[in-house]
Amino acid sequence: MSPPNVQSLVDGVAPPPVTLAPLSMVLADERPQAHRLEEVVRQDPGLMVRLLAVANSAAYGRGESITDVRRAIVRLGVREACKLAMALSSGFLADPLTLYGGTPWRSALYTAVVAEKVGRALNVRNVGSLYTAGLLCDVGKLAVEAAGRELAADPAVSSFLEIERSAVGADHAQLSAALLHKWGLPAELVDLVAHHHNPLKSKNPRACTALHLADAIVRQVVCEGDDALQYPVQRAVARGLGLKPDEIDRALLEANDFFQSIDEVM
Amino acid sequence: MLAPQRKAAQTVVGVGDLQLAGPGGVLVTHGLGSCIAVCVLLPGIGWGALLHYMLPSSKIDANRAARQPALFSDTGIAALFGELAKRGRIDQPIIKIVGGASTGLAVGLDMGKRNVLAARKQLWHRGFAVAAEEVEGNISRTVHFEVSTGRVRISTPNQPERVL
Repeated sequence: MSPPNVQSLVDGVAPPPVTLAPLSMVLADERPQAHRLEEVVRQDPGLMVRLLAVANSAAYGRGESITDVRRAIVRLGVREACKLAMALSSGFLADPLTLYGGTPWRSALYTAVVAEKVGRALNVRNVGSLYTAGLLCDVGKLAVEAAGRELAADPAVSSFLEIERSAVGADHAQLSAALLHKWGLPAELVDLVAHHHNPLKSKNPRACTALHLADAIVRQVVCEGDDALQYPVQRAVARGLGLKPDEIDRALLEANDFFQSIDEVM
Repeated sequence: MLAPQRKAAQTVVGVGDLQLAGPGGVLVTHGLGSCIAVCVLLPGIGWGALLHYMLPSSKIDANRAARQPALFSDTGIAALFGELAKRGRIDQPIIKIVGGASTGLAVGLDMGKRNVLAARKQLWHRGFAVAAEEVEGNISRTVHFEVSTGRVRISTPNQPERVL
């Protein structure tokens, strides 16, 4: 196998909306600033319209209809508005993946919400970055898809990462990291995404472990791709790190509601 | 000349959803991982129902369960039999369950195992036995429930189809 040409693989993926990187930086702040969020949202009229639609939806809309971004941010709360804006800027994940089956869209939104919840439960600092990492950790599958080489199932192989490496020379975690780096997202996020299947190699193993666990929890429930149940879980993480079943159920329920509120306006 | 064969009407059942079909209907649910598909046929009247629930218990959010009972095992199975009872007497239902896959997490976080146990418990409380099942493991499953025959066809990528 020739060395992986990660750069040429990620060059096959279309650039994301211009708002994605600035939104990730606003959300990375422990106390996201409303005026910074408003500035970013105003750069993209499509995003503005969709954010207003969510603010006026049955899930969030109370009282009179809102037509102004600033008021929408106030109604939603700055952090929630930022998370919604990130999700609404990630519609490129809703395209079907023919090689994997399904789309990464639903699992991305679920993983974002559950990663943040697991991060809080494990006392991880800066759970906003975990939300973004959960949302984008599988974006590398778009690069595998763009390469167009068949992902041949192999019962002898225990991890789908190996199948990806055999097919294109790199796995989706490496490709996700390369894409996030190329798109100008913070280095902390690039590291989390790069190691989400091997969290102890991360520079921030606590946060990355939360992401790894959230990913494993969500892949059980959102089983859209052929690969969903084909990634091993780290033995120490599999025991759940002290999380209670009710906490997980609540996180999944919240993820389900979040997904529905976004999916309605996309 | 033979009359053209009519294709059975298919109804897709989403996550946290419950659908019923009469004779000739086919109920389909896609991408079952840890979720459970509960397929119930009332042979006496020829009606069937498929419930696709996501979580084992509604105790975490009673308001949510009131709005969407099919998200949970307990309220979903109650709703399933409630809806079927509107079509006829619940007499010797044939019950098949599919799903409950896992990524290998420990028991408390293994949503598949918890969902399978929840289904068995809810059915046992009603005095019903499971006629057939394909549960647990680490595969995703798509289910076609043919109400006329009671057959449950299960497909998984790169594997032969199974029939319950």
